[in-house]
Amino acid sequence: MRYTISMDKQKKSRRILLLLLCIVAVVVVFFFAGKMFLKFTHSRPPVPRQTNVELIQEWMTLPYVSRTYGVPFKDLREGLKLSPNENERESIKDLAKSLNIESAVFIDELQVVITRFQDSHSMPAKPL
Amino acid sequence: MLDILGSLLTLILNYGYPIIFVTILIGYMGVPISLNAILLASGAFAVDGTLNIYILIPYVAFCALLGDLFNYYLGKKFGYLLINRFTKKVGLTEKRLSFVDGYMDRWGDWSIFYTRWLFTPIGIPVNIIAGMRKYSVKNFVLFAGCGELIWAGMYISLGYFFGANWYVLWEYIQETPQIIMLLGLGFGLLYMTYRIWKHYR
Repeated sequence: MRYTISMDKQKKSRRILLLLLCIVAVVVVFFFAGKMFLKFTHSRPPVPRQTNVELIQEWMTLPYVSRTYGVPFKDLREGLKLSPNENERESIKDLAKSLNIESAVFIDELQVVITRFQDSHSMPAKPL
Repeated sequence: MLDILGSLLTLILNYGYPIIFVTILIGYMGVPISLNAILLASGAFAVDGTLNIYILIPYVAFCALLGDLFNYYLGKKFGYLLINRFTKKVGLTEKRLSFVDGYMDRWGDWSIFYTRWLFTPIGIPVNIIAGMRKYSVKNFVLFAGCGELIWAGMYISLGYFFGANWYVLWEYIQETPQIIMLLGLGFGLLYMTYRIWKHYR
């Protein structure tokens, strides 16, 4: 009799444990599936190969910006009034530092130069 | 963007492939660098000719495979030392962990394959466990190599396709590997519950 009661108890606790495990699994699945669904349905995916000047960042180098935005390097350097001695391999951040200006200000100037170049040419810079 | 990632990207722009090699190896040593971002950026750099996409994909897969092998041998050489020294104190003895052998025999190939490109956040622990349990090196190279090729191909092609806009794409998909992994964990838990229920029925 006592044995049967303990077996029943064991069965019951196992059932509760399994139920709890199942609930946790279902919650985890629904939570992350929902998160994934919301992420991909409620925010717009980026546009491929868009050359928006707002995307210029501190780590970029001037030759890379020149290639990506279709502005000849010479025009870029002239527009920014840089001497030919400036290190081409430096990032925008380091270049701005060596010129004693804030990198945000340097990026602003760079954006103006690119936009002006694109406006002055009949065709916009070809997106890469 | 994090300063380290920014500096690495500048170095890749200037010096190319050797920096990618070093970055991947550092990433596989457990240093938290977003290798997915590096791959997306490298793909984007291939658009203007800074890098070559046809060289880049197999090269990155090869570097990543070297990283996997580094973790594998780390597990093989020092894994048990770790178990005997530290985990014993919390009850995780060699005997108790022997169930992993059965798991590696049954699911090892696919675990290695899928953790290369789909469940990436647990890639390093899987490599170390494979090494600890002396999983066949030949199979490890085969499945890890195929997985890494998919990983490299997937992210580099996306970077190539999105070009200069890769950074926006990275912000958009940044959390996806973690979400996929946790979703997989949820399904795994459901399957485990079903198996236990079936066993006691």
